Amino acid sequence: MISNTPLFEVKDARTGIPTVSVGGAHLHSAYDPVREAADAARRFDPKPGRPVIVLGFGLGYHVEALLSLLSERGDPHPEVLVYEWNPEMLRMAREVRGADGLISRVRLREVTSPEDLDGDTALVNAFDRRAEVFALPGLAKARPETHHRLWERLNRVRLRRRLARVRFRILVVSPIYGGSLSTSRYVAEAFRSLGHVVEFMDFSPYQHALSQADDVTSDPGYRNHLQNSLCRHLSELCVARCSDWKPDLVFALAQAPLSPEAFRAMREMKIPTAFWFVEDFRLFPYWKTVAPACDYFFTIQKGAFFDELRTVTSNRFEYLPQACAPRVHRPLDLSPEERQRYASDVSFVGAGYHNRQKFLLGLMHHGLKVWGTGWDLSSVLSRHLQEGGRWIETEEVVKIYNGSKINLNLHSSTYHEGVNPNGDFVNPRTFEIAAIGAFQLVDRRTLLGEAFEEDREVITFSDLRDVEAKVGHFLAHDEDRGAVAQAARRRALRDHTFERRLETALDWILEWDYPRFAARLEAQTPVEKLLEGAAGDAELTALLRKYEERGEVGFQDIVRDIRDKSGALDDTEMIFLLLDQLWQERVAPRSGPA
Amino acid sequence: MVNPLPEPRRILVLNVNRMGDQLQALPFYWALKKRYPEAWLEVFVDRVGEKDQVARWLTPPVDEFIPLDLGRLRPVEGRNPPILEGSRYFRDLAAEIRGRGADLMINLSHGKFSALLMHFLRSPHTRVVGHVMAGGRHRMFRGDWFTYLFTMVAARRLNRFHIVDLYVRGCGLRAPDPLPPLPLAAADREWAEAFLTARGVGLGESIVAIQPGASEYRKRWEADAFARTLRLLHERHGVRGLVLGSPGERDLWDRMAGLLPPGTLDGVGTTLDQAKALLARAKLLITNDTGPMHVAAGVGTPFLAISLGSVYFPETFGYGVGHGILQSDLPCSPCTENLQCNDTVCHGLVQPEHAAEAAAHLLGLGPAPCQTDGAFYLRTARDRDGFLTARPVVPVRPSAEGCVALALREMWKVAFDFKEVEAAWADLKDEILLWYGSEALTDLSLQPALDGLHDLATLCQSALECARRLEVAVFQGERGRSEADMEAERLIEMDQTLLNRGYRTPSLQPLLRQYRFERERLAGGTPLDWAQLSQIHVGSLERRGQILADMLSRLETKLRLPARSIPRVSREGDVEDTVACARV
Repeated sequence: MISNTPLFEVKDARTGIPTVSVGGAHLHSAYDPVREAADAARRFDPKPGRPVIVLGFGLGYHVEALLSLLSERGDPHPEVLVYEWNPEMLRMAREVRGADGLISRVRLREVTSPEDLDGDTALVNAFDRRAEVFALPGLAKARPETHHRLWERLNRVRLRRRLARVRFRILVVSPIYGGSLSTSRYVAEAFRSLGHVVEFMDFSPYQHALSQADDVTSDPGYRNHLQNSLCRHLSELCVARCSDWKPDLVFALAQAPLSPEAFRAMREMKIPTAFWFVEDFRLFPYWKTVAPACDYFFTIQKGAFFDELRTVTSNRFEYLPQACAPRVHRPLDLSPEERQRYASDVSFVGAGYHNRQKFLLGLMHHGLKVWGTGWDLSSVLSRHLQEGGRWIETEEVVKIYNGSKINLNLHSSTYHEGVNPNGDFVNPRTFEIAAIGAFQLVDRRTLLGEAFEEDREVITFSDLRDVEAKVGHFLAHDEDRGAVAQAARRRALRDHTFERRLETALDWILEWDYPRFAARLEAQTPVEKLLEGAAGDAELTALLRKYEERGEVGFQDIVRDIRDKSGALDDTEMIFLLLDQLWQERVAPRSGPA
Repeated sequence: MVNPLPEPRRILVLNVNRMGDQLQALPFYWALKKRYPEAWLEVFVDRVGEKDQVARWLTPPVDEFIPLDLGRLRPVEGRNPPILEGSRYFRDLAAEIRGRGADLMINLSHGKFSALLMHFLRSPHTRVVGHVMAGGRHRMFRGDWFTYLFTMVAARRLNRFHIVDLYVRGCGLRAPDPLPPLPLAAADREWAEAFLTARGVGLGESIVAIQPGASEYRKRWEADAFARTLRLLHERHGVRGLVLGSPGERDLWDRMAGLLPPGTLDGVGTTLDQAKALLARAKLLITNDTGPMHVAAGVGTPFLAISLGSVYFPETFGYGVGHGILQSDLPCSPCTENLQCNDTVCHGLVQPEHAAEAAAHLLGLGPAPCQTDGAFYLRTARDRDGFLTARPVVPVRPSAEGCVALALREMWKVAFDFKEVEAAWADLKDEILLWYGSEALTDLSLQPALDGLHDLATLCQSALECARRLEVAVFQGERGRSEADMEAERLIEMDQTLLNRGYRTPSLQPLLRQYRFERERLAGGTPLDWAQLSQIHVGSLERRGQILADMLSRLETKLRLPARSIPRVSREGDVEDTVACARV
């Protein structure tokens, strides 16, 4: 016996070199650890040029054997990541085998538990380059539970990385009208720019049909009945589309006309559903029906809302604040005419909620311009209301933000006199003005600090006296205004775009439910394997080479790309369409509602 | 007359279907062979295993069957199609087929796969007829009758053409009459005689065969109904029964065993060649719409087809005259494609009693049965234009829908085959009398259909004027640009209005579906093409609507005649005397 600790026992193997055991089970061979390691490395059959992830350092025999084999195969400096979770084991390897030299040839990652693997970017990068995993030979036998947990975590990371490269088919469902309508359009665009295949169920054309109920009857019972009928129909449309298109995910926005029955039908079709509730839960209680019906529920509030959500559903929910769309929310050079029309010292764009009507009265002397609908035309404030209080289109809103020295951003309230002291969520306007690089003064919100650093990226106010002082200061100090606005813009473009937001949403969904989405990977084939099989078929090889960077590709991904393409089809593309059609006609017969 | 095809040297027919469909297409293959005796006729056969069997029966007229080995691509639920194997297979197939250099390719199949395959396999010089995906993207139908074949699917109750006639006419041909019989090997004939002798069937003894099996449940009349029909025939006329079926249909025999008349012969599990020989010896086959029906027609044995569920009487019966059909009739007949019906009420509408009477009539052992409320009895015949048809032996209760269907039949002949309108009217008048007699028409109103046609004519006029204005504006170049844009927009709107009319007036569906498919050929054209071709297509639609309206209004006014005897039709299509009814 050379050395031991309360956990490990190190003794000489039959060949006279040290070996180690745990609770009587050997991590390396008790007879010939070197030969065992060499055999294991050969069986593992590492590919030169690819990273290797090694689970457990032990006394390092297997790592040595691996490096030596890779060197023989023409890869003298391979990328090898070794995960070890017990500092005592490393100390022992250094002590009994003088392993410092060996350790210096690999990237040793000391972790405290298998769960640490999740956040390790080195591991993620290695998987991105198609790393393979090699385990300490006796690990499974000596420490079965650790071995299992490590593999489970590794597989999780690997699957999530693979899933991150998959082009999902996402059906984005819009509301019929309202503020979340534009959000739904931004969501669809963002999913597209993330590389997913998106179909946008735009229900805005039904706005007229919905309001027609008001024109034909004054009976609220009938009106409700008519409007509910329309919503049921739209809900069914969505289900029918799901049945036909079979998306990987349905992503619906607040007010989307999806009934619990529709969510149930989609669940029966095994189509996951997400709902982004970009509303104040205190004002719109319909979340009580939606949250339990859909699979993943995203909110712009947390705290008290999460407590309430826990009482109605055990489904997954998470905080996902609003965001900006830099393609729309961008700095603009206004023409002289536009400056004349839209520019001002202080402006406010939005609907005339009760608190705004009261609050803005105190700011009229700052050359205030008010834009938007729902303002009291009998109030003195109406003198500041622009263009008769008409509806302002998004493109004009962007011009107003661009043209205002100070954009006031007062979150709505139906009963406060000014700032809602308990206001929590951050409205879209905050992110939009920031992305434009315009300056804003925003009322204090409990969740604002998570999005922007106060005083550096955003200036807040808590009451009229506060805002009065800050308006005065920032009107007088152009450079202060510019610094804050530019800092806010940098932050918005970095952290608060819809792309970033939806990446986060997908990360959550995959974290919660990755086995469900892993099924999608079954349809993925390594491009390398396909290319091997296609040797000698120049056209197919050329087509497959386009997917080489992705590592894997699904048959349907290729078919979709061919269908999206315009112009004449070559033989290879036709073959994909033929195979797809054959599959559709002989394997996947359609079925309507029962 | 239809434009004749240029003389092809090699013809390839795509008929990616079951063996029964190959048999059904036999008259078409004969028509091709007769018209182009020097051409090499090759036909795709879907299942490799069926190739030898099909080749033995259908050569001639077919010179070669090319197996499509799609089974090797093994589409399996939950898996991806095999990309590499598929690529190799289709490339090899393309090399072979293009190498053969067919100068005429004809697609008889409905599915998109076959249309894509047509486009994929054709060479630049190949002329294509039937369903094809132009450029691999746009569905097109080449040939008026072929276009009709695909549009009729949406309004099958208004169709009165046999699909083989549509194939034949689609290629500008005529089906040979009479057709050469299916070949019968001496060995099989001897086997059949030995089979019957061993079971005590005397020479000349009448055998009535039944085929109770069918691939699809909707068109499968219940086995016990077949058994009861045989029993009635045996009890009344002493005929001997013979049950046919594949080895996989053994359970049908077991289910019927207690109901069959004594002495019924068990022919379940015989080979196709043996079944063919037995059918040639039988006096009659009572059958579902299935392969043996086409075999019976091929060997010249009359059949009584039980037409149910997804089957509709004019379309797919075994090609020939003098056969019988019992069509169950519900408003939902025939079933929509792919519909899963859990309530096959139509099966119960055909009663064994009715079938036994019809069979006796076909055997010359009794009068024709009366028509019942839920089912009517028809016999197949050839009309004066050479089209196959099925007409009631005893007039049926008239319906506006039926009158429109018969008028449409004549209208299409005028439109596609340039038949004279007056001749069409004369034929229609006779057909109406044959179907309904004269008295019952007095209570019938065709006004809703006429109103729909009037509406259609007005819309067509507006669309034509709009297309003409668009043409003029396009010729004005930049000066007429804004007007052209406006007219183009208006034309799109009118086009949509036209197409939507089909939903409002069902009798317009066939006209508008045909128009829709024809105008799909406009896809991708310039505004000038669009203006000019719209005038052609809308003009055709308007003319067809006018012909139909003319015939229907003549029916409205001229057929309300005093009561007279109910005529019948002979095999030659002549009008004869009243037929007595079997029951009252």
